[in-house]
Amino acid sequence: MPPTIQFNDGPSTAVLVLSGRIVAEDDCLLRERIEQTLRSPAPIKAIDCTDVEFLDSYALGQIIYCCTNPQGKRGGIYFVNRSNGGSSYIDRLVEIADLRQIFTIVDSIETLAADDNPEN
Amino acid sequence: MSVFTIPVITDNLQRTDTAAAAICRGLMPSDTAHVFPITNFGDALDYLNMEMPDLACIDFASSELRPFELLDTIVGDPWLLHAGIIAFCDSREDADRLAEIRMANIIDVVMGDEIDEVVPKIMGVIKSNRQILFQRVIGMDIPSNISAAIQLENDTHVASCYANLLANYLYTTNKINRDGKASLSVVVHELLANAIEHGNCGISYDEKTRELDGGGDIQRLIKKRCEDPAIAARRVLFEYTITRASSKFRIVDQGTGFDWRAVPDPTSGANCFMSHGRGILMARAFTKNLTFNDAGNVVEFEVEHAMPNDCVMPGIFRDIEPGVVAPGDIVLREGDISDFIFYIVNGTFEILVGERVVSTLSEEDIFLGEMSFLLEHRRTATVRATTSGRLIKVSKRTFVEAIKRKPHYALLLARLLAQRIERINSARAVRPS
Repeated sequence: MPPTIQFNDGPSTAVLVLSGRIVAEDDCLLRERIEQTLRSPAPIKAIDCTDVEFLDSYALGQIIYCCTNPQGKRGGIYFVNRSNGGSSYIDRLVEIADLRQIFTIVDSIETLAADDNPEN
Repeated sequence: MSVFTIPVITDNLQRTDTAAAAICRGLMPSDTAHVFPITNFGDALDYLNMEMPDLACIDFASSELRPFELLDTIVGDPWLLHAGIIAFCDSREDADRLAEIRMANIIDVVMGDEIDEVVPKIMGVIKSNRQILFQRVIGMDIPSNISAAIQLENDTHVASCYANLLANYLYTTNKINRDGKASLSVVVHELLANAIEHGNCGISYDEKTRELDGGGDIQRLIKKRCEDPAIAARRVLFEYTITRASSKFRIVDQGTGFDWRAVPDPTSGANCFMSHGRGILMARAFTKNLTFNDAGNVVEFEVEHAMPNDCVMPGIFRDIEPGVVAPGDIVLREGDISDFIFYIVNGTFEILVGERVVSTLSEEDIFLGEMSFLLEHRRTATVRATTSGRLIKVSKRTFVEAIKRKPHYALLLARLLAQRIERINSARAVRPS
């Protein structure tokens, strides 16, 4: 299925929201969003993969590269996949590719929202 | 030569023209395609019900046609209405919505402005794999394995089409579950992409790293390599065999091979931050028995089918609880009065006339006892279970009521009987005199 790759630019942080099938053929869209993310004054805070059907090694590599290169990495990055109702494919991918070395895996984007609130 | 009859369900006649041109470009000159528009909901449903096409295009931008309601109807009775669907969308929202309808046999979702480019590729894939779609329509009459050997050009989009088509087929015929579908898509896609990139195009690990980290992209690198006619002429051989128990896949490229043992572990140290190098790791993780040959240009793997066949039973029988039989049980007895038919959920049964076994039936034959049932004869043979199994007993009243509700089941039964007669005739034709 075609992917959806949204870039939600918050007041101080940005979230990359992915859904559907994200594979090498979606390279243009993925790169456009990644470049948008890198241009943002707000650093990437999280990648939300809750609604991802699957992503291939190429797309995963691009996301990792984007989020860990010096331009993208400005603090720890959360990787969101709801434990209840999220993508079981992504759960397996987290284990297979050992993504915990790179990201902090969290259950919900909502739990991060509080950190983005300047009053906190 | 193949003949394709493909409805385009749309209220946009220009889209039909675009689709027809793209479909024809994906076929051989000797093939014939009859592509025609269906412009209202009722006609579309009637056509799908009565003609049971193996392929249909549905334009989800034609909101007047209620395409999502049409798809819901199709999904509601997948045993009969299982045309492979090429979905056209104009919005990402519609494409996302389609992604949620997982039981539909959607071969690919194509954005409206990509029909010209993508549909010919899809048709090329479908043409080489038509038996997958056709077997579904024929009604699970799969006495032999499904197998194919296809040569792919160096195009990763085609690789993606194959991954979709096969994963969808195995999923919608309940041979794999939802996780299995995602895993198989990834594995087929990764290994075909590997065969194209590293095999045929000879792109090394370091070269790919430089390209990606320098802001380039792999599609561009593949296209650049294929400017060399010798590389462009290379093909990837993709073979698969689908049996009842498992599906086996084999991918062969025409490159010089590669040392798969030397691929860096992408979870180790700094490698985990690399922009690529996880394809083989993912493919290995999602299969149990992936093997490369020594040269590294042949890879094989097998997927076991974990799901029971009974999930594909006809919708009209789903409310009837199957009865369980044990080996040796007599299901029907010669001379009995017949006022019911059995739908075979699973199991193997021998047909005896007197003490002589004249035939064997299993779930592939779908029904037991349909001749006496239809002709109102007494049973002409005894049926004995040779394995444990499950049968749904359907009375004549239930069957007739079902056919009143869904007349196309009668057409299916007629096709089934015609196939059996054809099979008997074929067996007679090859029998030595």
